[in-house]
Amino acid sequence: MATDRSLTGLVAQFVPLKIVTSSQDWRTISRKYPTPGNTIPVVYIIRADGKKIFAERSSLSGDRLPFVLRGSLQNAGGILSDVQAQSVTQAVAVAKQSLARSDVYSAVQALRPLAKLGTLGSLQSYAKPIQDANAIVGDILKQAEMDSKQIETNLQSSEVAVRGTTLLFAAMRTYSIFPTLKRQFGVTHRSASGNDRLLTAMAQGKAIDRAMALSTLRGGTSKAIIELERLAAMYQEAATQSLIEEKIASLKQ
Amino acid sequence: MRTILIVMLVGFLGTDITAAVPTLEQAQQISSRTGRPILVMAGADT
Repeated sequence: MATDRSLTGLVAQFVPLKIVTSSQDWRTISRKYPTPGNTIPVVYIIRADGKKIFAERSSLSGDRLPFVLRGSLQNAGGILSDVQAQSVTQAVAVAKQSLARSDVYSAVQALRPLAKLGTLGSLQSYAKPIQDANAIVGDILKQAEMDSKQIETNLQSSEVAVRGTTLLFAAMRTYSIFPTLKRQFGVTHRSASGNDRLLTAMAQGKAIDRAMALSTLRGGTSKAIIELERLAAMYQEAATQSLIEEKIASLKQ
Repeated sequence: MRTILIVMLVGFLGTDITAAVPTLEQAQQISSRTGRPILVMAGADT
């Protein structure tokens, strides 16, 4: 047999599967991806999401095989190493757990390393870990949209303005790795900063979120609670004190 | 690194593969995890 080592690197980007036409695997594949004719051999290339991107009853001799392989890779999406696949899977698991307890900040932080693979939410790969990551980023972006609406609503009312400003500072801290959201909340921040009616609420919201941010550091929960208690003693407004009490209660859970 | 990465192709039936995964199910699992497409070569039992 003549070995063609030049194809080794190319084929390494595939999962090679050699089957015989008397096997159950062949029955499964030929049923799922019917290919006209009844000659063998048959070559299929199947994308990670199960879509057939090539099928031909041919031996793909000569230059045709590398040509087909290269062409198929262009439609196959990004490929992860085993280490990358494991890292993405773990990041998604942590993000899901964080979202389940409404900790969006930790979810975003868990997914942050994935930004080196591309645009979060639109990572170009059919690998399931990447599809899961894109889906969970979609959930985070929906939450950001709800936060944005809540902020806008709260800032309209003096009674709950401090809730709006606290949420605004939290959103700026949480979603800063998403350029579009960073700009969006930046615009809201500039608008609120220029509004004299929101002067006190902005100062209080910033201080409350800064205290909450302490809780994201290792062993920072008790420091956050102490700081919030200090703020509660300092701010006399009932709405602000009520908000701080809620924040302390959430940290003690 | 998986042994699949040292796959070698040899002529055809075209394409004789060393270290190919043994079953469709295993190939699907690896493909789903890594995004690598599955290269299926179906032929007669020789």
